[in-house]
Amino acid sequence: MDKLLKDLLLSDGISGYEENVGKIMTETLSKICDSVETDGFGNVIGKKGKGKKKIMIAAHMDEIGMVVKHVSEKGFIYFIKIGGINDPILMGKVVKIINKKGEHITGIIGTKPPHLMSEEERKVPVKFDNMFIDIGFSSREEVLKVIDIGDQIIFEPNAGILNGDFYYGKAADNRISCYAMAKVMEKLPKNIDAEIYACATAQEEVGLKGGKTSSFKLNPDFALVIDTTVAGDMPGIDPKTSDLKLGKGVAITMVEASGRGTIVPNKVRKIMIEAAKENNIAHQIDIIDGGMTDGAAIYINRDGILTGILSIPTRYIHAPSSVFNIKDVESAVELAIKTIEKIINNE
Amino acid sequence: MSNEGALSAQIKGLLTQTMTKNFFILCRKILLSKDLEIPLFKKSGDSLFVKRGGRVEDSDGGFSLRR
Repeated sequence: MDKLLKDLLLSDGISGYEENVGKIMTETLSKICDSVETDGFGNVIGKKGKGKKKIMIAAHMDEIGMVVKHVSEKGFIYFIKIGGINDPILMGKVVKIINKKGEHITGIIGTKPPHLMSEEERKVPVKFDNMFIDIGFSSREEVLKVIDIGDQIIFEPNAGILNGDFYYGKAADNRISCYAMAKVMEKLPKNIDAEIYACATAQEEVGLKGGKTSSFKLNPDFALVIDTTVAGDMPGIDPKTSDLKLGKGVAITMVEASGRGTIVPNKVRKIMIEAAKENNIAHQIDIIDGGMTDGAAIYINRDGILTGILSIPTRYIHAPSSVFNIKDVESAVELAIKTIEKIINNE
Repeated sequence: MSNEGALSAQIKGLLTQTMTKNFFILCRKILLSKDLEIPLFKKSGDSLFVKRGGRVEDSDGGFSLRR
């Protein structure tokens, strides 16, 4: 597994706590861009090239997770969720609480066992506010010597290869796109005839915030968002809900959240599909009912920013570990480059 | 990909509708479809609050809607 990809998957950075993953993006982009800055919101922005057109690539770097809210007298830690987490997936999971020193404190998410639940309690899924984290201490005082209220909590970092091109990792949504964005910047020629901005955005999972502030600042002629999308090739998902398959190429997103998110302009859809076909790049078409990307905030910013979206099909997003196909990441890189070239040459 | 954003936008999308009983029912339907707790509704002054999980969300919570 590529070192940068692994580092990004293992790194921490729930929404609003992106400093560590931001450092990786800063170090990476510094080697391949003309300049890199972290803006006031926490977005990391690298710039490469000179020219009339301004093109922004955006990939959010935050992940879903939790934040410490309260510690009970007996030393159990209560938390709030950051981003869209389905409560039942939390039970029994191993988590890391990252304290002010940057230490990863291991904890287990606990709840009352089914043996002691009433019949009524057993009928309904356990909610997150009836769960707590056990870090192996017996009192509030002891726990607060190790962690603080407000510390971020992430799922136990994991990353690796399942079989062949099938990879897995924590925070694949959206670190695999941060990786793809870095590869795009690396491959674009140094003397490219446009200003290309690679923007690792903050706080996408909690309201598409970094995409909004960074696109306002940059005011690009074109924005290309790279994110993950829901793959449908697993039990329980009907092809009419999602027909996206791992290993069949990057998805060109046309409509998000049944139009409540981005509706990619026809002009952009045409350019992206042409770029894929002309260069024999494996691709699929993504029309999704639920979920949206930074694109939804970018394309309605200022007086409307021309925006395209490349989505990497991923299984089990917003869970402690997700599965993706590295070939789809590679096709995302290739199609992003060809799309950018077309935008530059398109009057 | 954010699903919180989608939920928020679904509710914001309903802002243009008159705040009638039907609006409450729609809002309730969306929240239920997202596997959240059954919301309760409360009017306070000229703001409408959607209550969930035993707490009334504040005006920045994404669930309180101005009339």
